Amino acid sequence: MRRKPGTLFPIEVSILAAGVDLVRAGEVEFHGYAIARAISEREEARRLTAHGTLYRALDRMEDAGLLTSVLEDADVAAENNRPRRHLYRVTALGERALVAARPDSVPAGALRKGANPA
Amino acid sequence: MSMTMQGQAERGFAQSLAYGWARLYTKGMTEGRREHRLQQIESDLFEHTTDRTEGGASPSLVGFETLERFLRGIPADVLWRFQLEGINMRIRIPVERVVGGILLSLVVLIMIATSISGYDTARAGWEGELARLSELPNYQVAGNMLFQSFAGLSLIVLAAVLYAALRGRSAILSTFCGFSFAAAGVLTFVASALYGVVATLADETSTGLGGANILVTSRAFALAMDDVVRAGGLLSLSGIYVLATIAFRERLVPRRLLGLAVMSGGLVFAAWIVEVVADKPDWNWGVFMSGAALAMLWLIVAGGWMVLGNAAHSLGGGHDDAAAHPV
Repeated sequence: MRRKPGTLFPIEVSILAAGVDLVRAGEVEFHGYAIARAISEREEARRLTAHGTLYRALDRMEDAGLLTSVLEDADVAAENNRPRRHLYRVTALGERALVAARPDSVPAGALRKGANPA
Repeated sequence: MSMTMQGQAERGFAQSLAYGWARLYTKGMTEGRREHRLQQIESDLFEHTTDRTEGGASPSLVGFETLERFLRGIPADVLWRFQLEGINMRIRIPVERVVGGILLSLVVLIMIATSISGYDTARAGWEGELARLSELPNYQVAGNMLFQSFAGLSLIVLAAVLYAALRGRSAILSTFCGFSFAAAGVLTFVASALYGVVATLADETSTGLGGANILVTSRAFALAMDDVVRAGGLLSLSGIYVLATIAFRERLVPRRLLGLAVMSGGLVFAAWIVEVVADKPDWNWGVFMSGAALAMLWLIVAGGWMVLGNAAHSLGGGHDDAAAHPV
C-alpha cells in the first residue's frame, strides 16, 4: 500500500496514540504486545491487533522514523525469565505526525521529555 | 537465536502454530530480518499468554485469542514478505524437492487426464452405450468435467514450474518437457469439453430430442475425445522421457533409473509397431499399458527419491549452493 507523503494509515495513528498514552502512563518504552493491548483498551476494541498487522506496521513506522526500537538486554530478559523484548519509542517525528493527523490527540511537546528525538 | 519460549507461560498448540507460521513465512529471508520478526512474535506470544493468564483467562481462551490474532494477520504477513522482496522473493526450497513433488503430482494428474469418460466407443451398438451413459446423474457429469479441468490446469501450472526449475540445467530439454506437459494440460481441457458435448447428446437421445443423426454425431465426438485423450497421454509420456533424460544427465536420481524409462519407451514403441504391422489391438493395448505403467513407476520412484533423498548428494555439477538451490 502506498501512502501520500505526510499522511498516516489508521493503524499507525492508533499505534502512535496508544504509544503516547503509554508514555503518559510512565512507560517511555513499550513492547509489541503492550501496544496491542493499549490500542484495544483505548479504542474499546474486543480484539487485539493481529500479529501480522501490528508488526508490519511497527516495522514500517520504524523505517519511516516515526518510532525507534532497541532489543532488550539479554541479561534483563533472562532475569525476568522471558524472551527478549523489542522496545519501541515514539520519536519527535512520530509525535508531530500524530498531532498533524489528530490535532486534538496530544498536546504539542507533551512527550518531548520522554520521547527519543528523531 | 532463541527459538524456545522461556518463562512461566507454556507454549500451547495455538502458540506453536503461530510461531510455526512465522518460521514459515520468514523462511529464506536474510538472517537478521528473520530473527527480528521471530523475536517479535516470540515475545508477543509470551507476553500475551502471561498477561491473560495472570488476568484469570483460561488457557483455552488464550489459545483461541492467539489463534484468531495469527489467522487475521496472515494476509499482512504475506504482504509484508512480498513488499520486502517483491519479485526477487526467494523461498529457497531445493530444486530437487520441487521437481520431486511435481513428479509425484504428475502421477495423479496423468491418471486423471487419461481416464476421462468411461465411454466405450468400441462397444457394439453405440445406441445402447449412449442410453446407458445418459443415466449418469448431472452432478457426476459436472463433477467429472470439473475434475478434468482441474487436472488440465494443474498440468499447465506444473509445466511452467518444471520449466522454471530446470531451465538452468538444460534450457532446450526443459522447454520441450514444459511444452509437453502444458500441451497435455490443454488437451485435457479439450477432452473435458468434448466429454460435456457427448454427455449432452446422450441426454438428448434419452429424451427423444435427437434424430438418427445424433448417434453418428455423438459417436464422432466420443471418438474425437478418445483421440484427444490418447494424444494427451502420449504428450505426457514424452514429457516423462525428457524428464528422465534431464534427471539422468544432471544426476538428480540414481542413473540406473534411466533403465525404467528406456524400457517404458521401448514398450510404447513396440505397441506402435504391433498396431501398424500386426494389427492386433489386444496385444497393442497390453504392450502400451505396460510401457505406460513403467513410465508411472519411474515418476513414483524418481519423485520419491528427490523428495526424500539427500539433495546435496543428488545434485551434480559441483555447485557451491547445491544444498539450497533457490527456485
